[in-house]
Order: sequence, then structure tokens, then C-alpha cells
Amino acid sequence: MERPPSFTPGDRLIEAADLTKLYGDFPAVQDLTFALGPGEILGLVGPNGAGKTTTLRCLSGVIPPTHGRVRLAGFDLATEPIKAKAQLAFIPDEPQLFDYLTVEEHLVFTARLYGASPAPDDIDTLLEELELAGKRRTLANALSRGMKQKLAIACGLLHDPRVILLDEPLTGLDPMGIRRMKATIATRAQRGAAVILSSHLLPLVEELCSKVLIIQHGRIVALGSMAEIAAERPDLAGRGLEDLFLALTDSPHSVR
Amino acid sequence: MIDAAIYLVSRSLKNWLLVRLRKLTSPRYVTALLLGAGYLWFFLGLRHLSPGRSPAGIETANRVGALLLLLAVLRWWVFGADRTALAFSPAEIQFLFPAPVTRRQLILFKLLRAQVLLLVNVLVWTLLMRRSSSGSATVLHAFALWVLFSTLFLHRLGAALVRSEASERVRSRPRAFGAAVMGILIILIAALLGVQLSGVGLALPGGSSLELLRRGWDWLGTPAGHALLFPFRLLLAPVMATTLSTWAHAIGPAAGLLALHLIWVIRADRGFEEAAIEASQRRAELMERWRREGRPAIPQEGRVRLSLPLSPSGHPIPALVWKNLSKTVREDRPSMLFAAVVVLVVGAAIGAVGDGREGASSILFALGASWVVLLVFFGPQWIRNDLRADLTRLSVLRTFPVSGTTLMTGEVISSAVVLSLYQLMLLAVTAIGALGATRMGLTPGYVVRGLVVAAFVVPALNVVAMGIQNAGALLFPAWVRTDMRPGGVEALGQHLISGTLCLLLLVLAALPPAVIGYAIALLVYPSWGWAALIPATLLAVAALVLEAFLLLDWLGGRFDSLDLSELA
Repeated sequence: MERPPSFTPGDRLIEAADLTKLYGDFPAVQDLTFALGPGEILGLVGPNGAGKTTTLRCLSGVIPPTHGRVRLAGFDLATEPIKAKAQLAFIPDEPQLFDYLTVEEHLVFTARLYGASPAPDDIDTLLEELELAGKRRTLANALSRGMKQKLAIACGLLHDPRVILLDEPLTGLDPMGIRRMKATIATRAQRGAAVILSSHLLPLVEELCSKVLIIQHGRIVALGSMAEIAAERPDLAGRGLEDLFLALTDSPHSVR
Repeated sequence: MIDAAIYLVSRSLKNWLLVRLRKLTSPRYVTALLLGAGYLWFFLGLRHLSPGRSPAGIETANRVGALLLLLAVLRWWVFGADRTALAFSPAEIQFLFPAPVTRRQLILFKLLRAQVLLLVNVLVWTLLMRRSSSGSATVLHAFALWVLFSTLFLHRLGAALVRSEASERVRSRPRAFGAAVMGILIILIAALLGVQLSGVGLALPGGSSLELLRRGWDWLGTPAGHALLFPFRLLLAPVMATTLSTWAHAIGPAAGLLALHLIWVIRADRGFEEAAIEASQRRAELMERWRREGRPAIPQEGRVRLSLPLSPSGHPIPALVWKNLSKTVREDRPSMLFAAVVVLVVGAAIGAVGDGREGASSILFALGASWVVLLVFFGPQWIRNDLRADLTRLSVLRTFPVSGTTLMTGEVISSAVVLSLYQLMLLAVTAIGALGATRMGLTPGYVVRGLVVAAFVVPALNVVAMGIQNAGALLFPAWVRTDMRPGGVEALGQHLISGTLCLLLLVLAALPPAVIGYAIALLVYPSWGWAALIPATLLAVAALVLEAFLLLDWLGGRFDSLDLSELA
């Protein structure tokens, strides 16, 4: 697996330029432009149907954008998809696993695909970290929803990705799992990964994220740190993300 | 409650029909519907299962039908029919079980809901067995079929309830109960047969297996055989009736049997909810797996019985093949292989009883050769451990850092490997049969040459065939059967179209290599003799490999440029 050049805080691990996705004539995402550097965690929030999942799917290469460009870890996703994806972990909201592979086999298979060649200890550590050690020989279809989510996360993190895209990562996790997941996200960011976290759990976003991207109807409503967003709306200064979100997304419960 | 049940069933049926009517604006749907309907019309028009009016014909049909019903009922009692008989849909459990509804009302609801399927069955079988142009006779016949199917449905439900209750009492799995029932039945049948056959003896002149079958058949016509099949004959009598008077005589007892079953089932309602919920959960898991995978048989306990090794480092293609082969070995392929072995062994045994080694070899040759040929054409539709099984996980595949060509190669090789292994085993069986059947006049040299040529050509052809199937799944996912769910008439039409097109493409793809191989063999044979097969085979295989390479390369590009959102 080709490693990207070493990054400094000023570098960009995720770059989206004029990202647009049309479903027929319906614009799911329109002209999204933003960038994320090493160690940054971006909270992607928006009402239902705002285009969050479509954005993540475009960023991960699952679906191609209609217009615009995506670069991951310095590689253009359209022209160098394999190099770009080798630096990526995309963990969707609904864990999609192979029912006929065990927990351990999922990790071995993922390692092989990503050319990660982890030491046996690495797999053990990851299984311990995500409380899957006792389930290593269990088929994925026999796991609970939360365990499946943990396994999807373990597969995503196995190759030490520089770009991590998480869609509602805490769904189905127990309180201990949530705490560990939050710690894992923070640790990965501290080690230099760029993380995009899509969630409706605004306190989680507020707690973990250094930046917030609020989208509605596929367009950017606000982008920046909480302070930067509040600076553009002095009337919302000192309020939490929930108030910002409601005020900026034309919600019927908007703070006036 | 009954009002609500009728409302639910009728509205569901109405909405189901409306959804299909709305689809009539789609040319693809209309084409598939017309083709499926045409096929059904043709099929129903050709098939006349009516036993005719001769007493011998009716007696034969009665005996066969009663025997089949007996076997079905035995299967329900021994192996259980709990999943289908007791199961409710998740929505029904959520709405009905917490509602102020009695157990008997729940059972009545189940009976009412089953009427839709029963009536469809009645319609199909009425058409299949039609024997009169008279409308009233057709209605009477349909009513007799309804009594038959309803009784069978109730019996299956009752058997499931009794099995469930009994397994609760013995605190063991229903399988243990089934084993107990089976043991008792085997002892009873063995005793009965022992008494009946002791007079004639089992040592048959000439050792003919057909003679044994004939005596068993005759025994079913004796009073003891009649007694064994009596309830089933009772149910079949109005169905087989050819005159109004025989129908009128027969329908009363059959309807009485139906009434007794209704009383039995309604009274045997103890533990119904628990059994129904358990069965519903099992069925939901099964259906979900069928929907996603096309195969149901992943071990429920979640622990694997068989593992294939995989190194964490290396090229991704073997990893993709390993993933798909793991799916195969952990699902029901081994049991299918076992079933195939059983068929071969039983066939050989029947042949051996009839004609010793010559007979066994002939049967092995015939079975093996015909299976190989069938698998060449239909194996690619049957074995689906490739992209077709991964269509619901395309988004995961898209995140893999591998090229589309690599991915498609891994997927296609996976199913080609499985199909080739089956065929190679059957080729070996064919060769053994050919060598043993001396009257066929095939020399060992001829057999070995044929085996070697086939062993090279068949796997290469399989890669092309699987490539075509996967191309269909990738380019026209809506046209390709990706699961085992029963569909409507339109689904039948879709399967016919996609299956026929894939078959035609396979024939077209196989033609150039076949022509090349044949031409080379003709050219070289005069000077090389049988050794001409070597260049002919190698060039034919090379042509197939080239086709496969080009196809996979093109498919890889298509996969890379695929917009998954357009597949939704």
C-alpha cells in the first residue's frame, strides 16, 4: 500500500470542491466546498434528507459526484481512486458485513484488501479495544446490532486510515461502547487523521468536533468552528450547537 | 377482530394489485409480465393432469396422490413445518399480539390470511386438472380442491402446534421430538411391512429392484394399504370424482374431515403465541437471508463448522475468492454435494441390482454425463457465490482500494471455481461409468482423452459463463434474479428473459473457441493422430481465456464508473 507523504497541520486530507450530486433532476447535494486537515474533526449535521449520507457516499467513492472534485490524502478520488481509498475508512450508519465470515475473518480479509499486513497483536488489540475479543470466531450474522457496528468500525480502523468518514457511528452501541467510540475518534484525530462525523446527536458533535458543517437541501448553511459560526450570527453568541442548528435550518423551533 | 382481519387481508390484496397496476407504465415490467403470463398460459394449456375417466386411471391417481399426501404429512410431523405454519409477519406480531385478541382469534386470523394463497392454489390446480368445459363442474371441482388444501393447511398448523407443545414439555428442541416420532413411525411401518411381506418373502427372483417396487405398489392396494391411506383417499375422492353423484357422495366425508381439523386446531391453542413468535423470528431471519443472499442455510448458532485459511497479506483476488468460497462452504453446498452423491450411489445400486457392474456403470455414465451438460448451461444460474450475492453490498465493495477489474475477476472466479469442481467430480464419475460399461464400447484411451479435454475446456468456459451472468447482474440488476424470493408472473417473465439471453450469449461466446479447436483438430489430425487434441484444446482454451480477459476488463471499467444511486 502506497503511503501518502507525511502531513503537517496546514495540509489538507479531505478536499471537496463544488461537490454536487443530482438524483435525476433532484439536487441532493449542491456545490459543497470545504477542506479538512490532519487532526480535525468535522461534524456534518443537517435535517433529515439534507444530503448528509449522499455527501459521505460521494466523499468515500461509493457513488460518483455529478460535478465537482474530491481529494483524499492528496489523491484525486476520480483519477486515483485506489490510492485515495487506501487512505480511507467509511463506516456507514447501517453496518454492512458478510454474514458468512467470522469477526476475525472480517479483519483478515480487510487487511488483505488494504494491504495492511497487521501483526496478530494488532488484531488482538483492536478486538480488545472494541470488546470483540470474545466473539472472534462468531459469524457476523450472529452478532447483535451494536456488535456489528463495532466490527464495522474495527474493519475501518484496521489499516490506520488517514481519512475517516463516520455516519451515525454510535447507533446501537451501549454506553461503554459509546464512550470507547468517542475516545477512539479523538485518538485517531490526535494521531493525524481527518474525521468527518455525521450525526443527529448534536451534543456529541459539539463535544468531539473542531468544525461543524451544517447543510440543508444539499447546500451549506454554515461551516466553521462554533465560534466562527456564532461570529456571523451575533444574536446566537454563547448558545449551543442545538440552538445554532435550529436557527440556521429554518426549523419551526428556531431560536428567534 | 374478524372484521379487522378481513379489512387487513382485503386492503393488503387491493394495494398489492394497485402497485402492480401502476408498474404497467414501465415497458420492462409489461414485457416481463406478458412473457410470464404467456409461459404460464402455455404451460397450463399443455399440462392435463386429469387421470381420465377409467376406473384404473382413477385408482392409480388416488393411490399416488394419497401416498404423496401421506409422505407430506409424515414430513410435517417428523421434520416440522413450524416456520411456515405458525409464523406471522413482524408487523402482525407487533400489532396483533399486544392487541386485545384471543388466541383462537389469532388462529382464525391465520386461517383467513391463508385463504389468499389457498385460493391461488385452487385456481392453478383447477386449471391444471380441468376435465370439463362445464362451469358448474369446474366450480364443484374447485370446491373439492379448496377442502383438500384447507384440510392440509390445518393439519400442518395442528402438527406444528402439537410439536411445539411437545418439545416444550420435554424441554428439548423440536428436532428431538421429530426424531422420536420418526423412530416410532419406522418401527410401526417396519412391523406392518414385515407382516405383509412375510408371506411372499423379500428374496426376489433375479434380484430386480423394479419387482420390489411393484410389490410395494400392489400392497398399497390391499386392505392394509387402503387403511394406511384411508384419510388421504377420503380427501382426494371429491377431487377425483368424475360425476356429480360420486362428488356428492365424497364431499361430505371430506368436509367432515376439514371440520374435525378446524376443531382440533382451535382447541390446540396452548402456547400458541410463544411458538408463533419463535417461528416468526426464524422465518424472518430466513427470509432476510434469502432476500440478501439467495441461500438460507447459515448455521444459526453463529459458530463456524468449516474454515478456509487466508493469509493477511497478498494479492486481493485470492482474498475475494476466499470470501466467496467461505460463503459456499458454510451454506448448503456441502449438503447439496451429499445429495448428489446419494443420488449417484442409489442410481448405481439400482443399476447393480438390475444388471450388476454393467448396469451400475451405465447409470453412473448416464447420470454423470447428463449432469455435466446440464451444469454447463444451467450451472451459472444455479451457483451464485459472486457479484450476484454481493449486490446488496455494492457500497462496501466500492470502498475497497482495488480496481474494478480485480474485483470482478475475484467475483467471477469464485463461482467458476465452485461450478468447475462440481463438473470435474461429475466428469470423473462419468469416466468411471464409461470404463465400467463395457457394452458401450468406449476404450480407456478414448475415455481418458475425453476427460482431459473436458477438464481443460470446462473451467475456462465456466469463467466466460460466470462473466456473462455477472455482467447481467452489474448492467441490468433489475433483470437478474439476485435472490430466491418467489415473485409474481412478471418475475417469472424476467427470469425467462434474463436466463435465455445469458444462455444465448454463452452459446455465442463458446462458438469461436469451438470452431478454432475443431479446425485445428481437423488440420493436425492427419499427421498427429490423437495428439491433435493437444493443440486443439490449448487453442480453444486460449480463445476462451482471451474472451474472459476482455470481458472482465470491460466489466471492471463498468464497475468503476457505476453510479450506485442509479441502481436504487
